[in-house]
Amino acid sequence: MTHTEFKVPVLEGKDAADFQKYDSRDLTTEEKESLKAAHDFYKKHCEIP
Amino acid sequence: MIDPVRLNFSLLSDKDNFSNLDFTENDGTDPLGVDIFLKQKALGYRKNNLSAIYTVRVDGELAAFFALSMFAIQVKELHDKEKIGDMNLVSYPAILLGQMGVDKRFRNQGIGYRICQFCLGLAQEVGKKVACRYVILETNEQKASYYKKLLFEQSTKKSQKIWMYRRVS
Repeated sequence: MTHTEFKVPVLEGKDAADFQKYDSRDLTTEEKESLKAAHDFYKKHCEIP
Repeated sequence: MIDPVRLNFSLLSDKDNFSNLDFTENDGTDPLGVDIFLKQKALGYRKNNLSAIYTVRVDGELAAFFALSMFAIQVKELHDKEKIGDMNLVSYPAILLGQMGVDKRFRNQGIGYRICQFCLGLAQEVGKKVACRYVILETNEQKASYYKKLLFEQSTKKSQKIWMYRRVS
């Protein structure tokens, strides 16, 4: 990564359509459970004052 | 999988010495520039507030690092039914996992997985105060399957790189 690579991704075409489908659907149970596990891990082991 | 109680996450300090650590691939190459980033650029990025650089210690020994920045992911055009007025460019707030490296001696112990958990957990916490909908990262084809297992979605490959993203809300 370099400074010039701080370039925001702009999704087009099929990538944009896939992204919007993903963005607009409900998270699956697996995704929700994984997010909860990550949050629990962060709160328990990682929170930096 | 390493026991999380053995891990310590902290922000990079001037005293951290990475000179004996090796973040190159097993064949000695550095296709994503991870090793060179840490040894030559990380402090500058931190000092200029371009990235927060975190270190990971295992039993007190430096083992890994990663860089985080506020970022965004955009779609060029919304699907017709999702257009709002004339707006055809939408930006979604995100945290960028910019660089991540695990020293060779500490690989295959789940440290990368824990770093991803850290990012997803942090994004959820940050999102309570500053909107954050995604964690995103850029990688190559070889490593994309690793992030797919962690439920990241991927875009198509461009210039040997792939953008990957995961919603956190």
